[in-house]
Amino acid sequence: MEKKAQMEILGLAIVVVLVLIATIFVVRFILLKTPVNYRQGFVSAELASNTLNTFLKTTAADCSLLTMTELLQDCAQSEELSCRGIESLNSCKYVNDTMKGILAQTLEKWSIKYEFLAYVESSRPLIRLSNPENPCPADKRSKIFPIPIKSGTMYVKLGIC
Amino acid sequence: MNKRAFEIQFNWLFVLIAGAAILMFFTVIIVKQKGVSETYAKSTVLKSVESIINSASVTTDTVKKEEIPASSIEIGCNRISVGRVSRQYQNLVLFAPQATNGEDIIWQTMGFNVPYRAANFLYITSQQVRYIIIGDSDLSKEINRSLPSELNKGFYSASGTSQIKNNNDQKIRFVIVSNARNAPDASYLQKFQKMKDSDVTAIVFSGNSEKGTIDFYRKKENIWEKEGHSMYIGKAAFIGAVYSDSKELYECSMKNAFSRLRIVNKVYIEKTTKLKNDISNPSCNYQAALEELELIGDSSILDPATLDIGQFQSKINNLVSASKSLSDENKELQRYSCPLVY
Amino acid sequence: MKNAQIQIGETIAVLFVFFILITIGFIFYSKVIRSNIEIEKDELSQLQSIAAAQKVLFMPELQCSEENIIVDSCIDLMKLRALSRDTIRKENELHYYDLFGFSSIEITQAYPSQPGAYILYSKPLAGARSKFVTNIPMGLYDAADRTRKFGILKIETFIS
Repeated sequence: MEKKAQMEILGLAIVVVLVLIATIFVVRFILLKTPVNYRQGFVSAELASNTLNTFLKTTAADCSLLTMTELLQDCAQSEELSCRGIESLNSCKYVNDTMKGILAQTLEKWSIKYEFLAYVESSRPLIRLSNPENPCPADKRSKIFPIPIKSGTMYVKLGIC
Repeated sequence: MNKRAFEIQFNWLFVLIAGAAILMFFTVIIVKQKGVSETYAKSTVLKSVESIINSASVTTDTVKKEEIPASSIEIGCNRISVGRVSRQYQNLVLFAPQATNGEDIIWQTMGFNVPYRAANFLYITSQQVRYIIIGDSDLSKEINRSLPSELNKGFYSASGTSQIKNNNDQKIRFVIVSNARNAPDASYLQKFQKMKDSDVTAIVFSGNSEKGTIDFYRKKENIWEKEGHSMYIGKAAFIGAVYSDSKELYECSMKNAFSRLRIVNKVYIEKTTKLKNDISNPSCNYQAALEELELIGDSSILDPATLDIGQFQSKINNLVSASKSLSDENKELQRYSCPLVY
Repeated sequence: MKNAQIQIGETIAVLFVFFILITIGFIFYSKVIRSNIEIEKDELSQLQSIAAAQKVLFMPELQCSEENIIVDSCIDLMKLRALSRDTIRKENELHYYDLFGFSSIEITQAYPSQPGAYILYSKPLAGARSKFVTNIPMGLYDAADRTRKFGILKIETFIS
């Protein structure tokens, strides 16, 4: 009689243990599943590319209708061009100020950290804009656009954290 | 002894009743869950088709073959359904057979240009449908070239139709190009007599790649029964007629395409008016382009199903002519380095 | 007899407890399924937001083109002005509901800076639980002076 009761209790205990194991699996793989963030992935991948692509094709408002690409080429080469707005600006300063203004209305407004560089040699950038001063040194999505110049190639890079 | 026997019988009876109750309970749960899973699978297929429709609006001149769970997709006017799961649209421009079965979808997109891009046409079919193209003219060759190689298709000259064999396809669509506008030859049906009437259809084209008429036919036992006739304008529309196995679906999609054309045309009229007012260069003549755009707007057919063939033909002719003139005007503007209309 | 009655009672009690456990399990399972559906709904809304952004950039009534050759990531400013006019926008609202559902689409000009925005489509969802905002930079081409400006496409997708 005693042994039969003990066997029954053991049987119940085994069932309870099995149910517990099944519950652990359900909780781990179904309840704690992290939702996929499609939008974030798409936006991060496209943002640097779209921003840079659009900027390079933008026409300077008061600089003889030249594009930003042409101004950057001048900035890397001879710096002969000057843009007349409120004050006389050379091409490098003009591009620097324009990009700063655009990034303030876009990436900074959306609380996105970035680093913008225009250079012929990466160790001596012609233009450097970043927010904050040293954004993510490692985990960055970058887009680089090469621009041909007389002496070779210059690069424009936008990195987004 | 009686008591014991009574006890045993009652115990068994109880076991039977309780067991049946438990089994029924679980059976109900399983059947309900099966229904839910089937609905989920169908909605997954529907989501795939919806994403294809979304892709079509951003890509043009694209062909793709996609694997899907085995299902039957029914396409109606502004409606797509997979079993009991369906999706309604306001202005769906989609050319496809009324029912597509199988484990794959082949989709193709093409721009509808009159002469500017007004819409992207989406065509859907499957490997289960066989397209038999018959003709000797340039139009028949153009149709064959425009249909993707992924399709189950065959091209035959008018004199070579004896080579057509029955390959046990699920559906057959004859595409016949003939200026005579005669009904298809009844001898085509000889090898497909055992197939269901609704699975064998034909379309007869008469015209050129710019415009023409189309006659829809369906198999009725051993003869062809005419479903109706319509018209097409441009390559995108005649390819649409090849894919649509019913006149209703073709005209529904064309009505939606013309609706899109009217919207795009209104935008171009506003743009051209602004250019006319802002550009002072006398070589830049926007008045002619504006007139052609107005004519395109007037000729955009509201509903092909409500027009008689004479009115339809007149509007199509006006549309083709205005489209050509606008294209010439745009080239003229380009020659004089003026901002283009499109 | 009493033993048998106790036995029956015991069996009935076991069955009763068993069915209660099954019911509890079922309630738990349906709660899990419901939360999965909410997650899928969110993912679907995200995909709809991305799809809406792609569709706007490829609409023939907005796209930049040169003799029907499409220019990437560019919206024609004259077409945009025409399409965002109140009368035309309201006329097309039903037509665009297919494409954009419950969302709000506007384009602003960031450089040269211009106040205000071009509202392309606006159909917010009353009592929306939350919304996704997607911002995409793109060019705005002015055919009159052939200049290209820096614009931002903003799409708000509402979730019920």
